[in-house]
Amino acid sequence: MISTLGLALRTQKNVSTLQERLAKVQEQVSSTKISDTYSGLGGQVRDSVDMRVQFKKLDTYLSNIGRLQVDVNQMEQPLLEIADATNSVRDDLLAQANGTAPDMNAMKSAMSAAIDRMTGALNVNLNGRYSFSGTNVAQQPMGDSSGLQAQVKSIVAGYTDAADASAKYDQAVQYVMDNWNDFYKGDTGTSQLSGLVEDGSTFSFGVRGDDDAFKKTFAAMFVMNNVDYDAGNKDGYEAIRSKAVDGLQSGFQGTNAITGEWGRAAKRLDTLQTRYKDQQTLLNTRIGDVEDVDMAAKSVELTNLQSQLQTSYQLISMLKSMNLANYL
Amino acid sequence: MSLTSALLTASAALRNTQSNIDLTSRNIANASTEGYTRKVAQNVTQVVDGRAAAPLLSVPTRSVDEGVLRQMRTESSASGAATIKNDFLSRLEDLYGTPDAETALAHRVGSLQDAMTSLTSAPDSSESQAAVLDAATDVANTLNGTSSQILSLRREADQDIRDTVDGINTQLKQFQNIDAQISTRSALGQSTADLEDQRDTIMNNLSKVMDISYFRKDNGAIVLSTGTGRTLVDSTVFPLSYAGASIGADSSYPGTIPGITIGGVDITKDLRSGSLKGLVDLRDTILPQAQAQLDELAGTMISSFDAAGLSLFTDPQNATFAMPGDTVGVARRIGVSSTVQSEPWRLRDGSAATAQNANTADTTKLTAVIGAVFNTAQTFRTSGMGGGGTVTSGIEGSGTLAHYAESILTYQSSQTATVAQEKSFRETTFSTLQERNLNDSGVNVDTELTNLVQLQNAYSASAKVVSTLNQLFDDLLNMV
Repeated sequence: MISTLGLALRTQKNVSTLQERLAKVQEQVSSTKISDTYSGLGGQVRDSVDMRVQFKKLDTYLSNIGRLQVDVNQMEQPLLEIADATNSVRDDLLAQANGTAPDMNAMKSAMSAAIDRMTGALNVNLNGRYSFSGTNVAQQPMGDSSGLQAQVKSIVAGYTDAADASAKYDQAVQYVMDNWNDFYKGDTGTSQLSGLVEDGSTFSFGVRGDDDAFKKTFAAMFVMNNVDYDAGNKDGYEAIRSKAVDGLQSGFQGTNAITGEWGRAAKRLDTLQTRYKDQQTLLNTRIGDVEDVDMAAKSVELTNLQSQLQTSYQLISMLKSMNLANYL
Repeated sequence: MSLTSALLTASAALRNTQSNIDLTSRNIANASTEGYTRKVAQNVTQVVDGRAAAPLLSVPTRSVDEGVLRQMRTESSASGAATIKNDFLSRLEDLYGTPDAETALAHRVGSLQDAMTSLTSAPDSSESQAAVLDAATDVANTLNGTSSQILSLRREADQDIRDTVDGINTQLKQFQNIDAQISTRSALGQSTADLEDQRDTIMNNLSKVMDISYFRKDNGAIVLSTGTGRTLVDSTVFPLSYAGASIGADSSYPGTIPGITIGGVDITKDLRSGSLKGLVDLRDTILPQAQAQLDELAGTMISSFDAAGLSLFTDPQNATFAMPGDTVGVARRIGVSSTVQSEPWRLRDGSAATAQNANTADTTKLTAVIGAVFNTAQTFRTSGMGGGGTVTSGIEGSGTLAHYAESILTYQSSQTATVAQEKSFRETTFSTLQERNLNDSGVNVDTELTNLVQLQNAYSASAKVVSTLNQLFDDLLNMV
């Protein structure tokens, strides 16, 4: 029995205060967290929430980047395919020696195959989405070119001389340009495929089947696929062949330019991805600084509190025996 | 001087010693009883015919430092208010979850923004659209749940006010009863010490729930008043009255919630401390403020999405929701638009679209909505909020939705921490004063045991005197 109620209450309070502190430190050590409530974080609440929200936002951006990278990679291969097909038929045309009759069947067969390759490449589909239809991803971009080709055939037929052939070529190309939507069925508006990858910044990308580079290439191929060789008007054929080579060259360069741009876009995504991952690592560290306990400091505190509590218990034991009733 | 006189003196000494032993034994028995003060009876020497006769024992009295007691009661009141606030605010904080659980409103709003951002990379994906709807539902549910809990806490505070008022009135009656007994006994010259202990205990209990002031009258009775001087007991009881109210989100004091009155006079605003004051603060200020913050966020979410062309959230009670008129209680009602739920493509194309955009990957509208709602600073009211239009938000009036949601959390957690600190400080101060009071007026068993030894010796000595006198009387009688 302790002599006075005041002393008993104070001793009791001291012990319970120590026990509370010990329990709190033990909890901190076992959870490694400073507190399981926001108020326990003191003035660091906003930092904690802010950084966690920021971390998740970066996760979202990284996820978007991942999706966009798939889309970008998905479109890269068809572009290479188109460039290769264009290059191949351009080389075929260049290989035709002046003055000798070309093997028109072989040439047209190659042109037809190239048209099919390009059409197939532009109609590439990933998970039900067409990559070259602009934002109308449900729509297959390239349709049937036979109508256009029939018109081209009628335009370039019966050229009389080089000047006439050249004019007919231009007329045919212009017709293709003007009536491109007979062949291309995708989106023609101003919207682009895009995704948010930064605060307030959209990553826009995408090449549509109505890009000038493809139009020029297809037009040249359509002409060569439908022109006839006139042995009596070699200059006329030569003028058309020459213009077609230029058209294919221009289309090839345009496709290459797109591919180059594509590489830069992919690079930008890679750069952002690296930056965000670095930021997440930094955020993780800072969240730990705000929310996690200093284990070394807590271990020392734990030891101190244990010693204090033990001493308090000893004190109670001594006070209990220091009672006059025990000596009377 | 005669042997008889000596015998009477010794006999009186024995009686006094017995009374003192009784007093000491009561002191020891109540040594651990809270509210019990040490009682002391003094031997008063009687002088008869110029000579000291058998001493008279005074009525037992107690030694109490009134100054310390008053200070202790003041701290008890402050501690009572802080304790009840801390209790409610801790429960309110529980609604916000733990830091690593990321279930707080700020995280929910962030998750909604993330889901919409994610949708920009796959705007035609039904899974991504569903994810946005899920995130929006989480935001609405969190607002609904937190708001409902705040209203429950307000109702609980109001019920506690009723119970506390009833408890105060019961204590006032007990006080009056004891006070009357003290007056009577004091007039008769009888000891009032134990009754005073009981009266002090009642006053101590009362001081925990409300701030009191008092003064002692000549007859030992006490006039008890509120801290601002409104009489509670002066021979008769002036009870507190509180009718209670059906608390809704728009309830406010003054207004739809009646006041706490004494004799028809509203004393609600006169309360300065004590758990009753804490409860009134919680019901009328702290919880309505938390409610108003949520309402402001919910209302701004509805209107900012509306303004951006995507009516993602709705108030089922107000088809044409408009701020500030429809704001009170909207956090409890807000829901995700059924139109958008049945036509999730509207997340991409907006609410004004008459049909789904053929360009299913067009993010123009979606990106604009994200920019307007999440990346643009919104304006939030800072005053004139709540049912009575008297609530202030305590949060800055401009910022993004996410920033405002973070501010709510920061504000509330800071308030909880401050109240917890105040509670701790008040409790420590109260404990110190209580200890001082107990040291001044409490029982020290060692002291009582020492007194007991003295009393035992005194009793033995007096008994020896009686024994000796008895022997003398025998001798005298034998001589005759």
